[in-house]
Amino acid sequence: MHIAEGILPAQWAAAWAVPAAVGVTVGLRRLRVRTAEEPSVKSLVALMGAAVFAISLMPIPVPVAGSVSHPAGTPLAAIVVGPAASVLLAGISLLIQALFFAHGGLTTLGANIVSEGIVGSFAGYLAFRLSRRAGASLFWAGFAAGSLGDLSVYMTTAIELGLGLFPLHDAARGAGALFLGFLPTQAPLAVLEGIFTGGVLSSLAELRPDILSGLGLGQSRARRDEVPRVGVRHRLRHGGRRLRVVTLVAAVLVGVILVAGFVWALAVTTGSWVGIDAGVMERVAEEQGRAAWTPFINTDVGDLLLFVFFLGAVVAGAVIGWLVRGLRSGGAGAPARLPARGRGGSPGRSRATRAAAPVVAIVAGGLVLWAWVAPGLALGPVSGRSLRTLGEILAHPSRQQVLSARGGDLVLFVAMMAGLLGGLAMGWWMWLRFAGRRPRFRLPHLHASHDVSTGDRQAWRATGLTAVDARLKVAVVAVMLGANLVAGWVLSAALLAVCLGALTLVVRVRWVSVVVRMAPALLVSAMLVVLRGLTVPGRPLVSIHLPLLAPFGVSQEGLTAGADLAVVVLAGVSLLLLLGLSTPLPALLSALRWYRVPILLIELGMLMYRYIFLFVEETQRMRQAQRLRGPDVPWHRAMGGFNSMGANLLIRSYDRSQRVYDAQRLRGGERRP
Amino acid sequence: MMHGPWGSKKIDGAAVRLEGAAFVYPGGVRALDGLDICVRPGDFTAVMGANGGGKSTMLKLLVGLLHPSEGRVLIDDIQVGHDTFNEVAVMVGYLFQDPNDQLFCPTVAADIAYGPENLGLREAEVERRVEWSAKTCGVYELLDRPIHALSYGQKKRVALAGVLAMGPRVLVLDEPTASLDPMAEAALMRLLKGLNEQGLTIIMATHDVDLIPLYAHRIVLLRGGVVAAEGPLNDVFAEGTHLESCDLRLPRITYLFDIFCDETTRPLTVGQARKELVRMVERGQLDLVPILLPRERGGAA
Repeated sequence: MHIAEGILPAQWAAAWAVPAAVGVTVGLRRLRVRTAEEPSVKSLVALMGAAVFAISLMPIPVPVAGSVSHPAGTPLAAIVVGPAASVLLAGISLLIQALFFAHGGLTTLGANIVSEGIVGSFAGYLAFRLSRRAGASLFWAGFAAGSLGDLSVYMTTAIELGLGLFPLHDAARGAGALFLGFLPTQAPLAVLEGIFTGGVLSSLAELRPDILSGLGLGQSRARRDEVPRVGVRHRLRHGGRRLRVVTLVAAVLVGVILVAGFVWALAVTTGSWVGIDAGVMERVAEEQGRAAWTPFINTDVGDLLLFVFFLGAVVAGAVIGWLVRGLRSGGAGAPARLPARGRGGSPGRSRATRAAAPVVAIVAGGLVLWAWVAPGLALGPVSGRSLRTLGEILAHPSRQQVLSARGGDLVLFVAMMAGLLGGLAMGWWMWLRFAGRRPRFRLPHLHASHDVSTGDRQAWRATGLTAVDARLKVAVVAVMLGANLVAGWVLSAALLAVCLGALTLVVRVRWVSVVVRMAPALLVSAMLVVLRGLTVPGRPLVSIHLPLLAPFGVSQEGLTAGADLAVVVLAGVSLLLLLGLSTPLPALLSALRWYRVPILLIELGMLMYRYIFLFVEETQRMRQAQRLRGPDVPWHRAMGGFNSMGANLLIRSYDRSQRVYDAQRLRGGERRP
Repeated sequence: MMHGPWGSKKIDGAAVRLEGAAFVYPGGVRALDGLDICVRPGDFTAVMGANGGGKSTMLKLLVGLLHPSEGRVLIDDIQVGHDTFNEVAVMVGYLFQDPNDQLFCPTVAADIAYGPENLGLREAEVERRVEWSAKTCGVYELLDRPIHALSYGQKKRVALAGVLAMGPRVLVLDEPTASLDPMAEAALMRLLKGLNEQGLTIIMATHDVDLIPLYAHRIVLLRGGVVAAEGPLNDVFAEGTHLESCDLRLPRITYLFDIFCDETTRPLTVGQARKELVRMVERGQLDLVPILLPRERGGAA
C-alpha cells in the first residue's frame, strides 16, 4: 500500500499533502484537547502507536497469494485511540517506515497518510461504530472495521496511483485496473485483517475488560449478555438469531464492497482506452508499414474456451499434486509432528480439513488464475472484448475455428500443459502448507523487525555524514527530493549515483544491504517500466503474443518514460536511505522541531521511537514462545495465535503507558509546556 | 567523594510518616490497612514482605501515585495529596522496578535531563546536574547512547541517575536489585549506601534477606497490608518467626549459626559471622566435632 518515493508527480505529491496536513493538524488539535482533560492519553497514544507498528511487522500468511503480508493496523488503532489520533499515529509510523525501510517516501507521505491514515482510520472507525450500533458483537464489529478499512485503504491507493500515473481522462480506468490488480491478494488479506481486528478486540474483552471500558469502548451490549467469548465458532454456535443476522449482514457488506469494487473496476476498464490498442497502436503500426499480426488466440473467436481448458488443467493439476505429495509421505496423514492439541485426534489434519482441501485447492487455483488474468484483462488492449458465458462460447460457431486456426492446437496444448504443471506445483505446495508442514523458504519480509534494529545501529554509527547537522541534512534532502520530482531524469540519475556513492563510500553500508533495502523500490521501478511501456502510445518496439490476451505492444516512448520514472523513484529512495542511515531518528526529530513542527508531534515521535524496539523485541519473544510450543502451526491456527499476541501487545502497551505517564509526572512532566 | 548537585557533601534528608494510612483498590481489595510508620531523616529503611504484601502500594502512597483511602502520608510536614503532587515529586525520588517504564526519552542524556528541565532550571545548572548524577551512577560514558542499546543493569543505573538529577531528599526504590547480576547488585547497593551516608533518606522494598542486613538500619515488615513488625534491623531479625510469618526467612549465614550455636548469638552478615567465629575460637567455645559428625558422637555415647 505504501506508494514509493518519487512515483507521484510533484503536483499530485503536493495535492495529497494538503488533506494529509489537515488530517494531522486536526488529529493534533483533538489530541491536545484530550491531553488537557486526561494527561495520560499522550503516552497511551504513543505506546499504542509503537504496538501497532510492531503488529504491522507481524507477517500474516495469505494462503491464496502464497505469501505473507501484514495488516494495515489503522482500523484497530482508530478503534482503540480514536480516528483522529490514529491519523497522527499513521503519519508518524509512515515517516519512521520511510526512513527506516525506505518503505514509502517523504514526497508520497501525504498520499500514504491520506490512504492508510485518514481513509483507513475513518472507514474502520465508522464501520465499527455502525455495526456496534446495529448490535454486532465486538468480534463482528472489529471484523467489519478491519476488512472494510483494509479494502478502502487499497481502493484509495489505487485512486491515488490512477490519478498520478495516468492522464486525467484515463485516471478512473487506470485506478480500476490497479484495484483489480490488488484484489486477488488484498481480498483475502482484508478478511484476515478483519479476523485479526475482531479477534484482538474480543481477546481484549476476555482478558482485560477494564481496558476496553477505560478506552470508552462501552460494554453496553456485554453488560446485557456477558462479555463476548473468544472465538467465532463459539459465537456462531451459541450466539442465537441476532448473531446470525449480524454475521450475514457483515458478510454481505464485505461481499457487496468486493463485488462493487470488482464491477466498478471492470466497468471502467472495459471502456475505450484512448491512446493505446488497435485504436492508436495498430494504426501507427500500419502507418509505419508494420501491420499487427493475426493473433494466435483471438478473443473474438472464443479464447475463453482456452481459459476454461486452462482452468480445468490447473484444478486437475492441483488435485494430482496434492495427492502425489500426500502419497509420497506415506499415507493420507500429515508428517509426524507434535501431538495434536485439544480434541485428541490423529496427528495432522482433521478429516474435515482433508475433505475440504480439494475445494480449497480449486478455489485457490481459480483465484491465482484470476490474479494472473485480471490485470492482463484490465491493462491489455481490450478492443471490444467482453467476458462471455460458457454457454455462449460453446454455442459459438467459431469454437471449431480456434482449434483449426494456425497453431491453435499447439497453443491449446501448451496452455493446458502450463496449467497442469502450475496446478501440480500448487497442489504440491498446498499439501505442504495445509497438511502441516511449512515450505522451507522464508520471505525477506519476515526480517522486517530485524531491519529496524540494524538500520538504527547503522544510523548511530559515527561516519563522515553523521557529524553533519541534522537540520542541514533535512533541508538539503527536502530540496533534493523536490528537485528530483520536477527536474527530469538527468538530475535524478546524477542524484542516484551520488547517493549510492555516498552510501557505500562515506556511510560505509555494504552493497548487499543497500540492494536489499532498495529491493521494494527496484520492484516498483520494474513494474513502472512495464506499465508505462504497455500503456504509453508510441512506436511499437515489440508486439507480444500471450495466451488469453490479444497481441499487445511495448512502445519505445513508453519504455523511455518508464525508465525515466524508475530513475526518479530510485533516486528518491536512495536519498531517503542516505538520510535515514546517517542520522539517528531522535536527531531528525529534533531537527524537525527546529523547523517548527508541533512539539506534541515530536514528543509522540520520540516516545514511539523509544518503545518501538521494546515492542518489536516483545513481539519476537512472544512469537518464539509460540513457535516453541507448536512449531509449524498451519495458518488458520496461527491466526488465533496472532490475535492473542496482538491483544497481549495492546494490553502491555496500555499498562506500560500508565506507568510511563506516572514516571513522567514524577519528574515534573505536567509542568512541561 | 561524591558531591551533591547543590555543591555540598551533605544532603538534607526528609522525614516520612504514615499515619493510619489504608488503601483499597477499586476492585475492593484492601491492600493496606492502618499503617503507622515513621522514618527519620537519613534513615535507610527496608520495606519487606511477601509478594502481594502491600510493599509497592505503600511506596506509591509515599510519592502520591496513589492516595490513601484513610489516614495520611507526610513528607516532613507536607501532606501528600493532589495539590502537593509536584512539590512532593521534587522531594521524593521514585525508582520503578522496571527501568523500561521509567526511561521514556530516546537517549541517556535526554532522559537524565528530563526532570531538571521540567524544574525550570538554567541550562548550565541542568548540565551540571546531568553530569553529576551520570558520574555518580557510573553512566557518564553512556550519555550519547540510545536507551534501547543499553543492558538491563545499565538501564537501571540510568533510571537512578534520572531520579537523582531531580535532587530528591528521599529516595524510594521498588525492588532495585531484582534481576541484577551479583556485581551490579553490590555496586548499586554501595551507591545507595554512599548517598545515605551523605544524608539522603532511603526507603526500599525488597525481599532479599541476605542483602538487607548489610545496608539497612530499619526494617518494616508487611503482611497482608498491615505492619507485622517494625524497628531496628537487629530487633526485627532477632525473631525468625517474624520473617517466616511473612513468607521470608533468616539470612543463610544466620541459619548456619543456629545449627551449631545457641540462639543468643545471631550474626546477620558474613562480616558479623566472622567476628563471632573469631570470638568463639578465642574463648574455646567452638567445638565443631559434635555438630559436623553427630553420628560418631551418638556411637561414642
